[in-house]
Amino acid sequence: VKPAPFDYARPTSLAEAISLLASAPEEARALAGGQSLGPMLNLRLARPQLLVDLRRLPELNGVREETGGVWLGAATTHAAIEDGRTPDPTRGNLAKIASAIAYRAVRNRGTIGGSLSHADPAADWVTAMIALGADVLITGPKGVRRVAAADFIRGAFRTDLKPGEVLTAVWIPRLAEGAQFGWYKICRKPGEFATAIGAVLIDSKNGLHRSVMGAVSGRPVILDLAQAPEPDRLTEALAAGTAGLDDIDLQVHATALRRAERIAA
Amino acid sequence: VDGQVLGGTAQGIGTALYEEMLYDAAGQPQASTLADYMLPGATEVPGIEILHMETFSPYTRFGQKGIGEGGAIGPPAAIANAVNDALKGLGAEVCDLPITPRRVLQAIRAAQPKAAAE
Repeated sequence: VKPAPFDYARPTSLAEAISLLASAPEEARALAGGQSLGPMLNLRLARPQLLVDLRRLPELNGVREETGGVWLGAATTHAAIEDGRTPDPTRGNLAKIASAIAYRAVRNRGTIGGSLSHADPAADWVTAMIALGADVLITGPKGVRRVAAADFIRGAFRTDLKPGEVLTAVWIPRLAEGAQFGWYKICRKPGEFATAIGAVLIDSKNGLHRSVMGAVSGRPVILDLAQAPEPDRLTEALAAGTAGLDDIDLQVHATALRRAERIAA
Repeated sequence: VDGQVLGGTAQGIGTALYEEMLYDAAGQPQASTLADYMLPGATEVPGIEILHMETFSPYTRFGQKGIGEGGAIGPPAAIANAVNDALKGLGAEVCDLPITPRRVLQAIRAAQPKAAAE
């Protein structure tokens, strides 16, 4: 449970961080809160030769509220969101989700950008950001680009990040007036990773009924419809998007989604 | 010995609901770290009141007895019986420990064709 030796760099600017990461794409790993990467290093599931610590970069810290939503710096901790130290454009849903991520010691250090970049299928923000229609801002050697969270998450531990790129901020759109959001996760124990996550966004005024099922084997299953899905349609979509899950897994996931739906409705 | 009884009770709750050393088909252990091996923690162990029933041993000089994690014996039986009592209406029964959500769902599924046939 001790990591293999590695070098540690704490760049003072984003440009420096990007050039460090781009110079050795195979050997370097970005470090934010370290709540997933830390254990992976200790178990030697990850053996980078260089850790590039992004946590104190000014470009990744801070928030900006706009009419349509909020930009959260990628280094914003789960605890800051839980405590309401950052504006919540989703009428308290972000704080509620944050408060149930792992346990407080993890939330004190873990970051929203780190969680999304790590892309653990069972991570709360992965499902939540997709369900809320968030975008991520990415800066790399070739400049800045903005990607929808749903496109950013490509699979289990797979994202759209290219070598040298850093997720710098997350755009969370304001929950439309009259829109409802429901969130439900099933865990064996408080603080454990979820067995199943259901998230539902109902925005009738804009004709959107989005169901997202997380903690599956890969990318969350997303179903964007104009109204509540027929049970058959739901089962079909779930089964198609959840290779490797058996009947019982599906039942648990369907339960999480149904409960999220009930909360939203 | 209160601490030993209390710790034993927690251990018994772990036996009943959480602790399991699984291996995959290739013989790879699936619970080699505490990230994978589930233990009851502060949120899984209820407040426990310990009452002592003292009898002296006739076999030792001062009547003393040894004590192990005696508290570990009761919880699996109590919890398994409670779960099976709850499942009785469905005709389902769980016979393996730990009683995971998956085992409960499996037992309910196994009972359903039987219930339908009756």
